[in-house]
Amino acid sequence: LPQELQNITIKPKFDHTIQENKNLQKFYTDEIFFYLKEQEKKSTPLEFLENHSIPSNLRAKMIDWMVEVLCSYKCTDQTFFVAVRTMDFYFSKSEKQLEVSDLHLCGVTSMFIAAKYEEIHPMKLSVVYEKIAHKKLSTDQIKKKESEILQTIGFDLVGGTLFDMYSLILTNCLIESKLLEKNYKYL
Amino acid sequence: MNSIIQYQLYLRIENDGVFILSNKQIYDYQFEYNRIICDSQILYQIKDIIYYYMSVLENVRYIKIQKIGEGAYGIIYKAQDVQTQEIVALKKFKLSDYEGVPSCALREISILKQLNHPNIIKLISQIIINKKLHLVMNYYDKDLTEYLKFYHEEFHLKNIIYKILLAVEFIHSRKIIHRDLQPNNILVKNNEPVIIDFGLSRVFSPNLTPGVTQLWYRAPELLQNCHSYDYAIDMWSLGCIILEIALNKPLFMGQSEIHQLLLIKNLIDGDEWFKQNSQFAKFNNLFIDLINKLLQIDPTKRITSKQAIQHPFFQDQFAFIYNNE
Repeated sequence: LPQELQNITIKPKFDHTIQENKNLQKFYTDEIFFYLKEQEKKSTPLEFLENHSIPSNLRAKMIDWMVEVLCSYKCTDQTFFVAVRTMDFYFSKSEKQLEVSDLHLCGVTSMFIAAKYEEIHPMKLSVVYEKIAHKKLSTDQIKKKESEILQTIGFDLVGGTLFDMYSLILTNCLIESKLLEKNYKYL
Repeated sequence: MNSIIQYQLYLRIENDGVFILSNKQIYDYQFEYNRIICDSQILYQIKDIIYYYMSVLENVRYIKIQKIGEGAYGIIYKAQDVQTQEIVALKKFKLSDYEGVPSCALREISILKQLNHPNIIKLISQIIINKKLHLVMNYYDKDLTEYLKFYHEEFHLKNIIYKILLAVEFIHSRKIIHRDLQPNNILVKNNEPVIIDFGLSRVFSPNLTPGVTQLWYRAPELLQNCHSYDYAIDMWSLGCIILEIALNKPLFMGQSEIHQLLLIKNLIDGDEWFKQNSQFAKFNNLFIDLINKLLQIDPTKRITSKQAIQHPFFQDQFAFIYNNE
């Protein structure tokens, strides 16, 4: 190597650790906390299964399956919470009575919406059609349901989820880093 | 006279057609508004006739007047509301056939619905016509770049800076990052700024894409491909915008990412640079202090919007941007 090039030292990449980042987030903690609390009253879906003939154990099964799917596609935790919230919100707002057969379509579509909203690289519709729905639901069906869900819930996807709330609390009590060491991510 | 014009217009509509948006039905024609206006000066009469023809068709709501802007997301039109005679802006998203509603539209609508602030654009409604998603928003004709081409009183400028900061503080306290702050995305009406274009903004999450914000207003951590940035990137863009308001031209005009970083590197010892540079000699000390705190290379040292609002520059009524001599 020529002399000049040898003298150049490559600096370590400029990047904050997550810790520093979380510290900065603290500046808005109060506002965000009260905003989320306000949102919780307004936008938490309540009594979502009352009008429909879907038993609660099937919904629970659906949510278990959602965890499986979203984990296998390496989605973030927040995506899962948004997906569940979207589905429940749709159930509570929907005026027509939904049958057990609708549950599969609703679950797949709310996962699709949540991934598009939250992920940097969301899964493609073709992947949803082939791998997740196993070609049992057509792409047209999914797209139609998507616009139906979005119009029913009035595009309200921002409202805070449980995950928002406790990740805020845990980071501010500095508990999260301790939990992460022990791999308690979902606690 | 009247009948002749009606007849001509009728032919035009037959040939060119009218593009009309409706809730139930779709009428897809092309209509050239300007051509008819040029022909005759009796605009008022013609308008009535247009409305007459449109009232024939049911559920008519908006007429497109002209195209204002175009981007990767879609096209923006200036349009008129038939019912209230109000001028509105229509943002049409290109709905792709294989992905359904695009994710930028999802984020923009859901975020705009949460933000209710006088200095943030108001979403009137969203409609799906002909499988295309349209956002209906208030129309403003001037953006900040055009506004700065003319001379304005200093207290107006200070007011604009303060209002922008208030709006950004409001956005940040809702856990949202705007990510595309630039003078083109700030509209001005009656010396009041309005922030628009939430197509790139999103709710904060620990892992984000670095390729956001226009190059001249991009924060150094984004230029270095950092994936875990936060609200501080908006504060950097604001620093650039505030300087642009005061200097009347953008400060860092890089042609590439490397060039942009080279321009920024002077700020490593910002205090000295601001003192020596003759461009800033005419500025008030408090103003330079505010700029210096916003344009910190290290995002952890950059002040937040909440701190910026409480900065002495805004507390002191008599602190102006320029030195009075």
